[in-house]
Amino acid sequence: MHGASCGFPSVQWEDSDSCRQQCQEIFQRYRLIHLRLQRPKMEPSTQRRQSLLLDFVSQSNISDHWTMESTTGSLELAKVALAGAQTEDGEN
Amino acid sequence: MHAIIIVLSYQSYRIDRVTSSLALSWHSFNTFPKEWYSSFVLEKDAATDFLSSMSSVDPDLLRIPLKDWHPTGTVWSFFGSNAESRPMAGKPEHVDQLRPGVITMHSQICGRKLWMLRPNAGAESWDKVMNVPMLSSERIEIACGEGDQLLIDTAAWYHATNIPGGTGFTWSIAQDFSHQNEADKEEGTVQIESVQLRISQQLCQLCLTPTNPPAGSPPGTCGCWCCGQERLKITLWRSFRLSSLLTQRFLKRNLAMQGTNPVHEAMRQFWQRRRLAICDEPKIKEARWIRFVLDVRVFSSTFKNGFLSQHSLALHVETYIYIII
Repeated sequence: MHGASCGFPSVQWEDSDSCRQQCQEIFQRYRLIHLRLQRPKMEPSTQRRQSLLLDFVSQSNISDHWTMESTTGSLELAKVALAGAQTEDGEN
Repeated sequence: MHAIIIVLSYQSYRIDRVTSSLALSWHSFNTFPKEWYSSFVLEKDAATDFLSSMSSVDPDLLRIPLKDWHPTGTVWSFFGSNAESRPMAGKPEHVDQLRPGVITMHSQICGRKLWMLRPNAGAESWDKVMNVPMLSSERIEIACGEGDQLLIDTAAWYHATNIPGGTGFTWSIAQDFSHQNEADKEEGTVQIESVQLRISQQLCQLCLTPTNPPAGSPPGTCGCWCCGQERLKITLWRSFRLSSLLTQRFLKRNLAMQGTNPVHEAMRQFWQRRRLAICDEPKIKEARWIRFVLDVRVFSSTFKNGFLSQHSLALHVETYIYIII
């Protein structure tokens, strides 16, 4: 376990009791902790994750929960933007 | 015996600089936007369905690594894209008004997000003021990358986010957790509430306090204590200056009418030699000038709407009194 990006409560996560205990202590003290779970290669790919989100947004009835904290302003436009981002990434 | 006392005062004050930090702006959708940001929140069954659909994501990423914390059933999803080279502001600085003891775990599914944090000394989560972390800089920055978790008490930390330039698609999932002991769980006495009130306020560029504009003030007016005091001082100064100008006008008119009075004659000569003005440093050798200088530094703390603001205010006042007997 060692400090990560910012030198403040930030640790490289490993699935062990000692790590869990240390995280607990850091969080109790600072009410904040940054954990880096990064694996050598994350699966699935970014494009797959976008597709996962787009599928959920398209199929689910989340319009009641939609927050207006969006530069897109509406759910439909957010879907368009999401689909557009996916297309662009795919082309790249 | 006639006595005339002329009082000239000089006050120095800082001019407040207010900059709105409203972060989100409208974009045209004629083409796919290069920078955009959206979010939605799900509760209970909808949240469970959503997390179930994330089965292909590393389960560790969505699992809280701390003991005795239980999900409240609220899940947020923040996603967007920034293909521009400059950073894109995500959320303006704010604290969340959560039930005490509720924390949020942000899991960065893909892309990057930069967090800017500073402690909210007025939060209930800190046992004592002494326990509030002391930072070497105004804010700390935490860069969350793909596969990172950020566990944060969003009531105890002011937080703002941005999406670094060239990030492309970014997506994070936030879950609220409550620290619930076993007894509470068995008896079912604790009602989990997860009302997350987001406060989008402008940030004072001097004291970094997020506030709403004061009632009746034009948009963009900073509502923090120190800027309010500065505005009050400016108003008082203008009022004083107007009063002083009216007094000068009155005296000049009176002296013109009664030039035979020796006192008035002395005053008239004084006017002829020197024009009296607010910024006019008096240098008359035969006059009796008394100069009072007052330097005051006021320290204060205010606690309002969950924000603790600490200020020091410097006030410099110079007063000249001229006496003719």
